[in-house]
Amino acid sequence: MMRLFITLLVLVIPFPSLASAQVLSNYPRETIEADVSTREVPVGGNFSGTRVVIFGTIENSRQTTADEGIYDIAVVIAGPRETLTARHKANVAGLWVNTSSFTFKNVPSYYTVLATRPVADIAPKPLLLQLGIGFDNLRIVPDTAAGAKEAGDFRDAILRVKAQQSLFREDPAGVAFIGRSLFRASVDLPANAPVGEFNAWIYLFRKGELVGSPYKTKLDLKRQGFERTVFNVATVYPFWYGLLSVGMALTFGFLATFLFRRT
Amino acid sequence: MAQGLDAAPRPTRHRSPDPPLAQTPRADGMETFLPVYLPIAELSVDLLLIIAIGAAVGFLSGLFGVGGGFLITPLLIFMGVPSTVAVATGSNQVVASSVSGALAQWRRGNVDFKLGTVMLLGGLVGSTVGVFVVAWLKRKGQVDLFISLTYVLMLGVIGSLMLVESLNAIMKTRKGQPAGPLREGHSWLDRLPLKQRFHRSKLYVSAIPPAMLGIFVGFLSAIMGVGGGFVVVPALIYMMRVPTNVVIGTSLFQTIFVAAYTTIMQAWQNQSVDAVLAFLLVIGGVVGAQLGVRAGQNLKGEQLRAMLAAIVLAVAIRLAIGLILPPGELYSLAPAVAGS
Repeated sequence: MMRLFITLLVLVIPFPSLASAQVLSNYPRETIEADVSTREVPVGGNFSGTRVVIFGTIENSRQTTADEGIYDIAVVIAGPRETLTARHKANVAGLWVNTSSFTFKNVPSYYTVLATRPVADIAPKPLLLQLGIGFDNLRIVPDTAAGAKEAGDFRDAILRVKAQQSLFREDPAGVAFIGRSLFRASVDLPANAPVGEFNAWIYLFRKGELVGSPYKTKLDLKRQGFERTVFNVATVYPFWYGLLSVGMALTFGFLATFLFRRT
Repeated sequence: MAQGLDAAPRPTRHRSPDPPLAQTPRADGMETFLPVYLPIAELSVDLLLIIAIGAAVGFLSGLFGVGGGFLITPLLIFMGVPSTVAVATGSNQVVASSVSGALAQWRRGNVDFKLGTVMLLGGLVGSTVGVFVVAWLKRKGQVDLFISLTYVLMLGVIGSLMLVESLNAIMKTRKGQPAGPLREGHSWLDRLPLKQRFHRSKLYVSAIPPAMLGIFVGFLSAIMGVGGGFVVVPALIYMMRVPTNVVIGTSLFQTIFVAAYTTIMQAWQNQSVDAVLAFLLVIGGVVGAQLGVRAGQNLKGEQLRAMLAAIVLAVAIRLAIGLILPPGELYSLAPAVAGS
């Protein structure tokens, strides 16, 4: 009789914690929807860099305000991959000479990470490494075998030089929530950004865990107009392009002489 | 619902308006006023700055009879243009400024076509050899160092020699002596075979020295990405004893062809000629060259030589400093060259 009573009691009295867990697991899973403001960035004669806005929303957001901080967002934008040679200078008999060099394959020509917090605080290191989020977690390994210290020095140098050229950037306050589910981030593509296809990944984290699959989108830096024509001729018909360039120079040389004779 | 209270206080995530668009940092720290995008160099430069550089170098090329490649290539690299593009585009600009200058000189009867053609034939041979040497050095990974050392050595030696000689000449004219020590006989050069008469230069000498000079200049032009005027001008003056006024026109004449050959080869093999950049340099350059030729009319030969010597030496010293002073950044990045 007593046991039955306890059993009933257990069934009837709602345990608050258990109940909320029940609610949570029934709560619809969050997903990200996002897009970039410009899918195609025209690179023409007056291109001097541009800003692209990435905006998105968390479906089924559990935040009640923008500042609640349940979620972390990391946006990674990577330009076309390139094979880089990094050289190190040393003093040889009074002259600064390239003494060692390593080749690095598949280095992003452009790499920007924007996040709601310092990347290291968002998720555990192994996960960040796996996803390649942040300067410390981007895979840059020399092509040939190198000592750990040397490889590290070269890696740091690539990150440093690229950051100096405004091609690499990590901004721990680059993504802002502007509502309980709406967020935005703006990416600067400098004038020296390589032309080609850029990938943008948007990751959603909650309590250090990746939620759902990242949202992936693309943007294309495309040469346009006269600049596009010049580039195409230069690569498709290089010999004729060379002749044309010389012809242009000759024409202007003659023209200047002719004009100056008249004056 | 009190859960908002126990959430840890966090900095606000609102952030608007956006910060100003980050400008690409420039080596010279100057603002870009009229940006123009270079399709091959893949960067944006200031339209007016490029035209001004073209005009300044064109002025010097008209004044001294040098193509100006030895100035324009380092300047472009300093502005952030990739070195391969700077070398190739520089030679394209040299074509225009040397045509413009050569025509102006030709109207004044200052071109020795025969002498120029002999040097030109040698130049094509030398240039072809130089292209192979450059390819070999690229595989060795030391092409940049070799180019810098060649620049410092050639510009340093030639600049010093010219400066000493021209200053001596100026001192002599100040003392009332005639400035003309350049016609004191040719020593061993007179004994070589294949003697030719070069009317315009008032010379009767062997064709071997100018041909050898052409080979050497062609070789240098392939390695340094220059027309070679800064070598031809002093060599013709001091070794061949050609009158200064004829030297400039003749040097410009052969520079046209060497630079055109280099431009086509660079465009064909490396796709490194930026036509937009070249066009802007040319616009400034042709005008500058005409003004330079006019300015040169009012200057004496030894004064011209002293000024050219000073500029050549200044570039040599600037490049030497780059080799000797510890660089701010020990590491450099470059697109990997296939096969290196």
